[in-house]
Amino acid sequence: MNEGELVLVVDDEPAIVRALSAALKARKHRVAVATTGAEALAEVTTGSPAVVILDLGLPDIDGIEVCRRLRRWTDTPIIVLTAEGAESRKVEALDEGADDYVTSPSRPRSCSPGYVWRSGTAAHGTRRTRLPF
Amino acid sequence: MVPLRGDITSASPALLLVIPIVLAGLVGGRLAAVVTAVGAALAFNFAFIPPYWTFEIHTPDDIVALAVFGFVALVVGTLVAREGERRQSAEERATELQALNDELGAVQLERQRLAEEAMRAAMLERVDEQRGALLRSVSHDLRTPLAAIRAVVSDLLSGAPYDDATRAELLTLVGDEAERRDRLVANLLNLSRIEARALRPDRQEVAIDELVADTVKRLERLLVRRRVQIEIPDLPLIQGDYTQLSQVVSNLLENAARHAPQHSTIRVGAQQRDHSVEVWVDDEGIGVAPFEAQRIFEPFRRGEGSSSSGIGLAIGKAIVEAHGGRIAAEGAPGGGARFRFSLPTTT
Repeated sequence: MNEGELVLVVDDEPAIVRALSAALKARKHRVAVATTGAEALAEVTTGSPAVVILDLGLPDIDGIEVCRRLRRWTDTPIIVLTAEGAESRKVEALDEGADDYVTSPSRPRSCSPGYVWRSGTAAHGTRRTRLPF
Repeated sequence: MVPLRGDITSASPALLLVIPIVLAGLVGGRLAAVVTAVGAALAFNFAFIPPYWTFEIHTPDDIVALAVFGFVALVVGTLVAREGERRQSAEERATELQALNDELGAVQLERQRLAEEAMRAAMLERVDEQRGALLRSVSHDLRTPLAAIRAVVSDLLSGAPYDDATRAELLTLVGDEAERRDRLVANLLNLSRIEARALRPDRQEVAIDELVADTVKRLERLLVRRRVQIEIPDLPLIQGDYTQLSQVVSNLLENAARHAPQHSTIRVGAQQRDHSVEVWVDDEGIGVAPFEAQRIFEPFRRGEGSSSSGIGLAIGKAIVEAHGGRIAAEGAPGGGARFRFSLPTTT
């Protein structure tokens, strides 16, 4: 993932948004924030982010449904944020086209903003291999 | 026409004989009426047909008179008896209806009792649901700040190459989240005190303007993207529990911050009213629907899509009422919501 690329953070929890935004901005990414599924869908359309970091517990549309709707028309890499113990949700999200996941809060290392950034890089790689050019 | 006897006057008292037939028909029914009619005919013959005091009949006229008397007696007796029977059956039906009615009443009562029982069960279920919802939202609220804190700390520990500004922002976030958790824990402690009916204000003299200023200062970080205007004139001191009242103001401010758009203004004001001091917090959020104004203070009630645990306002209400005051929600003068509470100045 290159500097200056836009990352869309979708989470209704201000603290998580702040932490991710700070970590991503420190790595020279631009950050857009959506706090609901509807905002996320609109933001992906208008902002064309390079990566979407998507919390599965959104107040309006379920995160997995957001994943499904995005996958109907875009290959933008999606990294989902899930609560600990929600293995089936992870699997479901990956089935719906998510590229990677981060669990919070039982494994602090994997939940750290830095980890998300590294995942983002990996996901970007996934996208490259998937595209025909 | 049947030719009548010449000596008609002596036969007229025979009409008295109709009375026992009517009585027999009313009391004894059809058979009694017929028997009495036959008896009356015999008595008529015995007393009113010459030769008197015998059952003999000598003239065809007398035979016709006896026959007519007997016929009339039978008809009257039967009609009266039939009417009596009809009346009796009507009475029986009425009794039956009454019994049915009583039974229906009993069924109705039973149904009402069952309905009340079902309502109680539903209420208990609702309380259970609310408790479940509270547990879920409280555990969510308790874990989220920790998740953020742990994520940031582990990120910093892993030696991420952050500049000073980012490092400061992340550390401020840790402090803010620790404070948020603190507020929630304070609310939970008060909630358990309220449930145990142990919420007793530790009264001392409190200056409202100082209390509001302190609380706003404490929540500075939470209110960072809102303008807070405080307009409080000189007010008499009130007797109250400083920590608890600060919690009320804190909960109202937190509520306002949650619902007010960014960069909007939150106004905190106070004024004296007769023997009380009224404090209000206005925001420029979506406001409070009139039907929600009362229910908003019920425990565990949270706004649409709200991420709060829904206990802050309920705790505010309990604390204000423990101080002998009142709390209410309404539309703010410039749109948005106004939450106001009043506390007595003399207690």
